[in-house]
Amino acid sequence: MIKVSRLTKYYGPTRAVEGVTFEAEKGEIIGLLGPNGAGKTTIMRMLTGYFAPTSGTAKVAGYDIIEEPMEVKKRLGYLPEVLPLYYEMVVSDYLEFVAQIKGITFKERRAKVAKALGLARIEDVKHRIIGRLSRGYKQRVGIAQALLNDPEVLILDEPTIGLDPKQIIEIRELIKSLGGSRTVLLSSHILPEVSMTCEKIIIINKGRVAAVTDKAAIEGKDRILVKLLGQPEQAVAALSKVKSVAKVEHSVEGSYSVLTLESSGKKDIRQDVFKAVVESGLVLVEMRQASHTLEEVFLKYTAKEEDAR
Amino acid sequence: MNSIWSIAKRELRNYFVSPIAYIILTVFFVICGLFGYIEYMAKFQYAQLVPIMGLMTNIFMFLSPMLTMRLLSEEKKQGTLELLYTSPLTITGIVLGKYLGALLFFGLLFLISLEFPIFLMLYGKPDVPVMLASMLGFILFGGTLIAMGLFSSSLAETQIVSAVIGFALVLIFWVMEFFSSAVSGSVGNWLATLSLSKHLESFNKGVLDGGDIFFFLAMSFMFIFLAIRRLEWKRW
Repeated sequence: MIKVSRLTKYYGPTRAVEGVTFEAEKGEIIGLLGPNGAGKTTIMRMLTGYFAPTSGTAKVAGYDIIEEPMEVKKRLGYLPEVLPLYYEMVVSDYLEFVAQIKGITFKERRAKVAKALGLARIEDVKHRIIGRLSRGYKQRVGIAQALLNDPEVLILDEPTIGLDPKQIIEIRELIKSLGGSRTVLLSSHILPEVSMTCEKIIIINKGRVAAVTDKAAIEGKDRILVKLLGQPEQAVAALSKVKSVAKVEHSVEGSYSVLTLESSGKKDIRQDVFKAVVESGLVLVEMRQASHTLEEVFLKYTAKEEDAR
Repeated sequence: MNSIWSIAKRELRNYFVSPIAYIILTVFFVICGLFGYIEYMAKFQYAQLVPIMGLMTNIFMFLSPMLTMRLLSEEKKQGTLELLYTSPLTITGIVLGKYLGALLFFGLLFLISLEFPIFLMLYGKPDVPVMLASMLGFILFGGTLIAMGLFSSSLAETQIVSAVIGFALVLIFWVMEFFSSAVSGSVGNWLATLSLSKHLESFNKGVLDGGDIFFFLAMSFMFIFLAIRRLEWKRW
């Protein structure tokens, strides 16, 4: 559905994106993760035809973005980071206008506008002026706009930025519900955001793909945090023996010892850890899967990149 | 083609959502009406449309930047240009739609201004061919100013800046004749041929000069083309 090959963009002499290559299958939800200024928006703008790449190309929905941009645009829904809304317009009029410029025929227009209103759950505000809506509703109008033409590929740039926690959860659910039939590419600089909605995660750093990884690796299924009552030395000794524990780090928190275990295999080691703790006579007060922070993930992947050179 | 019309319609509607349409129409007709009253009823009492047409062109010259300032600047500032660029539209289509929208508003203004010739016809015996020629001149002049304003709007990101550029541009072409008299020789003559006011003269005498008609059409075309080029250049 999306096939990006060696996409590069320079703004004058400044490198924004260099040699970005990745692919997305039909129905996948893919996340572009990276700090601000990493080049996420630039990649999206090239894919959506907002501007042309300096070199390289991409295929979206089977069409080349340089050779057949019109065909790409017909099959694409795009939510830019800055919401492209006409604030003085009424929601339904706005969607009607977008339907017109997206080339939706008069016959279909009404049904499609109604469908988009439904998907974004904004029927109750359709007669209101966009400028007077709350940020969360504006975001939904933006999403409705992107969904109007039943796009095969949906590109969402920071879809949850500026929303409150409740709205973030709602938008996240909405995005998840959109996957399946559509290919969704979204960007974020917030790790949990991406790991919660996307199966495949592309880490972008300084305009390059630092890593292509999946949800599990980022969520830290392979990493367990254990909090024990007792001396750290004793605890480390006991837990190092557990099968497939590769690395143990420890710290002290008052009278507790906090250990971080990393497993080498895919197997869940929590059962074994529990047994080992009981056998050694220590008292377990807490155990959970520890998620990586964005910094850790970056360090991990950017360090790998450095090593490779 | 349909999308050009959609953009134009939205633009026309937009004028009436903001106070700008009402301000332009009110200022325009209050001044023209007052002047018309003084000119015809109190002062000369002759049935000619030319004096009021002259005033209409002058007033419209001041108002046209207000009409065109938001066309592209606002889209850039609000981020809606990103929507237009990523929709299946061409830049030419976008710009033509914008032009058509402003032109439709101008058309409305022109329709209301028909009250002046109508009253002249009712209460006097104006020279109809001269009247029609001067009306055609006004239409061509308006279309050219809108194209100039559209181009100015493609240059700036804020409405105020684009209005200022637009007004400066119109003014330069309006007083070009004055510049030309200061420069001797062929350069001076060449400058004179670019003067907006000079090309309006023949219309107000009731003469339909092919060269003058061509001048206004070519100017409009050129500024629309420049606006398109400007956006394309900005994009790559």
